[in-house]
Amino acid sequence: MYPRRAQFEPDLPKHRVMITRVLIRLTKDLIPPKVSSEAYQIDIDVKGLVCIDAFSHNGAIHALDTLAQAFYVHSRSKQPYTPLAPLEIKDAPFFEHRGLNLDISRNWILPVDVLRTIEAMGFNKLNRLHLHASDSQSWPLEIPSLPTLAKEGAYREDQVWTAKDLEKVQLHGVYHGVEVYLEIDMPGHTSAIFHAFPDLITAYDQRPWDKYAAEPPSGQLRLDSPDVKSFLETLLGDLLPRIHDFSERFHLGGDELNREAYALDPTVRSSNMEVIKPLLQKFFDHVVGLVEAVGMTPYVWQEMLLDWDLKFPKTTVFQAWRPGALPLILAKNHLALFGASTSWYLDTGHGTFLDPLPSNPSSPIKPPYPDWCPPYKNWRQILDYDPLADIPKNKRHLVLGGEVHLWGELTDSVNLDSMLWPRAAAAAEMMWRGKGEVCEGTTRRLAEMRERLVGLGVRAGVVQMEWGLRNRGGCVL
Amino acid sequence: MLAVQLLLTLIYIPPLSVSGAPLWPVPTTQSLGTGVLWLPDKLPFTVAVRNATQIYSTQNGTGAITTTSFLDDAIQRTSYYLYNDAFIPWKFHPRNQVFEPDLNGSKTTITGVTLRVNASDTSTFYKSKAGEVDESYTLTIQQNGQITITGLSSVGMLRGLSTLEQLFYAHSSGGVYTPYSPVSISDRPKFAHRGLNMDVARNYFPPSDICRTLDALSWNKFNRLHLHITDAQSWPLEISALPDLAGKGAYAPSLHYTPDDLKMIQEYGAYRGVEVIIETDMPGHTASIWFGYPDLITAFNVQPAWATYSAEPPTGQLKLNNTAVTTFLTALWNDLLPRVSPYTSYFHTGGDEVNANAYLLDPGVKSNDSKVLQPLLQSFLDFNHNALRKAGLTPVVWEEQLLQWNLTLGSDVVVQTWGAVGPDSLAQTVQKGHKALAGDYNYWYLDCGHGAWVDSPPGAPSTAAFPYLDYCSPLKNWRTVYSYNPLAGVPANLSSLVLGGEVHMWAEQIDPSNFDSIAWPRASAAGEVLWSGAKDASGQNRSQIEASPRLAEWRERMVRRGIMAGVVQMPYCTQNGSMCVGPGT
Repeated sequence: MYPRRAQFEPDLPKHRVMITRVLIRLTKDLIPPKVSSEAYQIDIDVKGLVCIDAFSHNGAIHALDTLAQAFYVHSRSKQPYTPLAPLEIKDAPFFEHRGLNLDISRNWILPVDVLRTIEAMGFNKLNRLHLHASDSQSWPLEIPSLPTLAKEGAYREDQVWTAKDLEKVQLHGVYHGVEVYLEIDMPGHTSAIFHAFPDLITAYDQRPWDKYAAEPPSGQLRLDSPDVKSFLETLLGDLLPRIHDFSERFHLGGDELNREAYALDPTVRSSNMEVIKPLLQKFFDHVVGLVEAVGMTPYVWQEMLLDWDLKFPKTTVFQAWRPGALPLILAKNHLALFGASTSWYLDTGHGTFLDPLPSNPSSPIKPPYPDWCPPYKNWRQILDYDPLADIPKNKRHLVLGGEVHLWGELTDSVNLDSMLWPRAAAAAEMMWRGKGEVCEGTTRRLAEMRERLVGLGVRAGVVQMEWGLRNRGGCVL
Repeated sequence: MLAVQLLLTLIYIPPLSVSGAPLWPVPTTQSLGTGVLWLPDKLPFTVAVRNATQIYSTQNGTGAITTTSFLDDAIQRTSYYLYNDAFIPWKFHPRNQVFEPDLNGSKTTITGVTLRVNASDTSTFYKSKAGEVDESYTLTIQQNGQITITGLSSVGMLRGLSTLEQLFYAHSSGGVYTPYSPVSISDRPKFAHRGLNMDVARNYFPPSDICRTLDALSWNKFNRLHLHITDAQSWPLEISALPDLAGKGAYAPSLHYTPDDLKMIQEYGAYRGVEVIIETDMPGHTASIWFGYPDLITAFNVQPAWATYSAEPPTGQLKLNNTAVTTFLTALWNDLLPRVSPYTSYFHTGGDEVNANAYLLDPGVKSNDSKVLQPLLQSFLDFNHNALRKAGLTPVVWEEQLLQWNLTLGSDVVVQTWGAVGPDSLAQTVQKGHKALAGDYNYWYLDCGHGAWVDSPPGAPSTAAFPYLDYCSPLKNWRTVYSYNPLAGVPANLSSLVLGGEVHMWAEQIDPSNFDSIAWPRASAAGEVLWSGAKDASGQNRSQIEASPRLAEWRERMVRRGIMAGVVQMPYCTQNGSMCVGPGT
């Protein structure tokens, strides 16, 4: 961050001003709570006293993470120092929901990698980890009352998130100010259930798959089946009370529902929207009821509201992912999360996972073999995302925040860090401040954050080459 | 009946499994069985060189690279990988299916490996010029457990051993086996120069990262690592005769390549059949020389109008027509060339992106007119290339020297094309009768697509630059890398001038933390194009359906060996053969 060979470190005199103590006060007095329960203040005075005032434990955690960023290691002393005293910081988040949606189903993500991810998230003041815990390709989540679900549906018997793993990850989140909440996507994206309970799934692994699903293998929960209903009662009856200890919300999925699959469903036998819609309403009334019964808030993907026009309680939060969806959710006076695929899908731009079908001369899988949502979203594009730009002022209170997404088609534990970081940090800044600013100052701060992440053991990508960091103003065009 | 038949033809039935072993890069011909053979507790190797059979034993190296020391090293590595890859290929078999061989009943064990080299290595086989060493080999595994690799050089043995390693799996209950007996493979490279260009100047890479990369290159049957070791941003290469070069030009005092580091890296590569070629790019891309020797550089770090004077900041080029520069270069070559020539036949003098405007500011030139610059660049190049030849090294240059500046190059010079003057730069080069390397930036620049690294100036509306793409977006996914045919557009009668190619890792946004995930498995896709060719035996473009599970499996093995490679496909796709095909009917 400094010019080549510059002496940027402080001298090491015999008498140094030492930090005497860090005083943390959880108080309702100093900060009006309506600003944010996560607001905090830091004061470092010239005598070495550090005072932290926060309204909540999470605010105090944020303050400590900020404080840590004010310190550096000295290359000739084991003693860290801050060159910034006296320092006064007043800080509060713009959005209350600052999340990462991590797919742990399509490829195996080790719980230990999620622990590290939580630490990096907390350090970047992200406060929600949305675990997309099941999908068509595998069911890694152990459900003790339905033991065959993961046993048969995981990629492998040992690629299972046990109840203990989940508890450990959620607890780790609590200690880092990150609420870990779960999504069981339904009724689409469920064909992994087929391996244990074939009778619950319609249109399993049909050809051509693109008629029945957005990606292979096809398969959805049957829509009007008493067996499905009782399966879901067992599933959620097992899962929700366990995760509710650490989480206030539960995501019921609801994206990319395929109508053709229901033509093959003996409980529906139609792909007609008018036939499907009341059954779908009944399906969601049931599962939303189960979520609310344990006192949790239901989260649902945008489609159930915008494409299917289903009715949901006003407490429901709708997650927008298609560009342009956010204002439509707000127009219906529902709570919403942003995170448009065209701006915040970290997985996109690495090329399709599909091979071209040789017998199809007009196969869409052709050079340069893009995935469905190119290009790769670089960190500036992520920072520059401004979901509120088109939102009228009187609707903005409905926007709780957003999530940056990492779907797992081409991500596993091996490349997880380099897919997430530093780009998720750019999303974190946008959500904390309300609007990102693409400028050299941000580049330099993000580059410094990246170095700290690498120090934490996170294999983050590069923000800027050293020359650009050492020569302020040098890499501007 | 007719209706039923029509229906059947409409239903696409994907192949349940891909035939053959998942070898990467794919061999020229292969015939594999389904018999199981197990590794013994210790695998005996026998080396037969020039009819003189001996039981192989480990010897202490004397420092020189000999047939014996080379094969000793290769055999030790192969033994290590065979027993320690611990690779269980569950991702390539249906969910929860028992795919591993039964442990009950009689087990046939591998009796040994015989390496048969039917010719003598030359004394410089490990630093050969393109085509000088025969890298072909045959590999057989007989059902009685005997493995034989034959070839015409030690390097051929190494390539055969790399293939052998890929035929074995760990059993989840212990033991290592191959399920492919009997095996008969015959293999030879399509191209003689198969390289990765690694920029270690824009960000620094510790020698250990370079060595790990050399290992991975060797497994992928690459035979060249081109180290782009200096650039405008830093000069990490220590030159004892010019101590201020790295002393002041490296990013930090600890970020040097000492003579010992360089020797170690080159020797490490030589033992792996990967010749390490050094590039000191000039006369452009040299601004870092300024920190130690400011008088040698024109137009250093012009700001903010850097774009007028170079492709990226900081600006600065070696002066032309300048005796101090000549003295400097003499000292540089006298120090460096004798150090690198024991391990390589080539040296790369760069020559890309020379900026004419920088010479407006050069007191010895004061012109950006190519008529003025061309003869000065010619004498600059001649001086350098003569020094190289005197040291026994063959020059490599970037295409601009030939195609943009129209310099006269010796017939020995290898021209590295990247598409600077157009997509036909490779064809243009061979049409001028020069040996050439392929590596078009629209296909083989692995650094592209991660976004711009330059910032917008303060106050500029950010929308102007949105979505902040780099100059060579999009990201080249592995299918794009794999679809590149180095011979496309090259007249058939000139194709022998295409020595091969290189895949590129420029390091503006790459350092040790993310190198692996950017390089691999995409460099493997280029590796197969270079070893096996872009076309299959029937002359068709290689099938992605066939390649993707094979590359996915190869990726898993590289991960087992410590390479943090990206994902090729979800296990769902590979567990069921090639299920992720389409869409379409």
